[in-house]
Amino acid sequence: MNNTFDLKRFMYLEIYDFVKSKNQLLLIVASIVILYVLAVLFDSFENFNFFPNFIGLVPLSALAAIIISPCILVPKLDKYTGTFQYTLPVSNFERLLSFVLKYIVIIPLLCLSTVFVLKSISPLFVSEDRAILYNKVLDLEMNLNFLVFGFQAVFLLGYFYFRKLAIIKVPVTLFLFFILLQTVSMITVKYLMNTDISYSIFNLLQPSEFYIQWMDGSNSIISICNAILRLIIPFGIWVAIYFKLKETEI
Amino acid sequence: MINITNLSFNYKNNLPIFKNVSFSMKNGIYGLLGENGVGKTTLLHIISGLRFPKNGNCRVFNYESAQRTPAMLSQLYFLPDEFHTPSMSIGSYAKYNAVFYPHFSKEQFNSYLNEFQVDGDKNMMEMSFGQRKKAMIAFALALNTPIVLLDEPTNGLDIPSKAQFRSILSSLFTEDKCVIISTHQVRDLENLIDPIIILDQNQVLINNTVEEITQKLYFSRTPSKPQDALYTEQILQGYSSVQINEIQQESTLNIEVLFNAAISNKAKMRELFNA
Repeated sequence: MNNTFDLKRFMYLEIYDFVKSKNQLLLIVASIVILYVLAVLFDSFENFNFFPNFIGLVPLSALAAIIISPCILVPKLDKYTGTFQYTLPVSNFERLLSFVLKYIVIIPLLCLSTVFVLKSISPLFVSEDRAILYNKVLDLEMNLNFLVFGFQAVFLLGYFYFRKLAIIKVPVTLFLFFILLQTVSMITVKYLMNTDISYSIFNLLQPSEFYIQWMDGSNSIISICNAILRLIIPFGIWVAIYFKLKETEI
Repeated sequence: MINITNLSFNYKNNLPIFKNVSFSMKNGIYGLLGENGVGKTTLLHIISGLRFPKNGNCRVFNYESAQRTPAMLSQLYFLPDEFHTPSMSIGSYAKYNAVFYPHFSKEQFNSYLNEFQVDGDKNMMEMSFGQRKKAMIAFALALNTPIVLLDEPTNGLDIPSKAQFRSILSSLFTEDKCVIISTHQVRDLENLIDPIIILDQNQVLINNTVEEITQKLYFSRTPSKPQDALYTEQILQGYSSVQINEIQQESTLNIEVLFNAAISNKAKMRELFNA
């Protein structure tokens, strides 16, 4: 028996995980569809035109589902829920691979395909000019990048560390972390480059073209931080998740 | 089968649960006894890899339990006292989980479900606690793993179910199996468990077979209170006592009285049983 990876064992794990998760996956699809239906209704009836850009919530909800799914699709990790999960005869590597498949492949694909189908059928329900807008707004694949998966990985790591109320604790921790990073950046730039910082740390979430406009010398720091955020951190967090899986006690 | 060497463990408050404990468990239906909070469930968690020793190690079939390798986990099943089951029938649960255990028997599983009178197609979330417990006991025993860990298995079971559980366990037990039952309700399993482990204050007080215990201790029921008894308790017909078995008399083990005697005379018990 291979204690690290066995394909048959992994397939059995995936089948079992899918059976357990199918209701939650349906819930994600239903949430996206409901928002789309509401947007179409608001556009269809002139008297209900309170939210002209309600359709923008559809890709946002899909992105939100991808990012926070690690905290909402799994039961709280405690002795009642974790015993059978962690005594199931599968390896930690297989558990990690199962998470990767679910959160990086299956759920994003599910959200992408749902939004794509809704985009395709939009001309049937809305006027031509609205359909053009829908076509532009419901372009989810443009927004799926390493940053989304980086935040998703943070939420999954937060689920293992915080256990209870991870859905609240992770965003709060992220916010406090960014504030700390902002403070350190301001102090560093002030004393090393003798200039005031001209950006907010939240600008790190912008694409790199955004920083070209800044010529104050702190541009290089932003570029480096941006690259780190987008590429290294998601991979690094998944490595951390693997080690956390090994260390998890119930 | 299970070897525990110099095991030390404590929770975050640093109160030691186990301190440099060493013992082993081979085949048999072990009764794991102890007062509340002494570490019975913790020991089962350590054996099944759900908790890691702070010092020392616990090896199951020569695998380090803390590593939770599939090779070890497929030979062991732990049924906790309270648990959460997914929203599916026990039949479906067995279908998706039994594939990880090479010796699962569907015939035995269906037979145990019939004996417990549990509907295999009913969603477990719609069952009472006792029904769910019976369903999971049927599954646990049908896996035929060499090691079975049961934490308070009769908790929540009605009287007929307790008898059925005893009957099933004694019929399926073979010499190559190790079943460890942690329980407070010793009367439910009195004639079943052998050997007996009694834990006390981060140490093992007794880890002996019934034969070894009755060779060293004499259990009696007398109309009057014996003078040299290690422990005595009043019953309807007189007194139930534990004495040192100096003249090698035969007697029937009374687990409850043994437990009370052990807790009341820890030093004497350690001396007698060299635990």
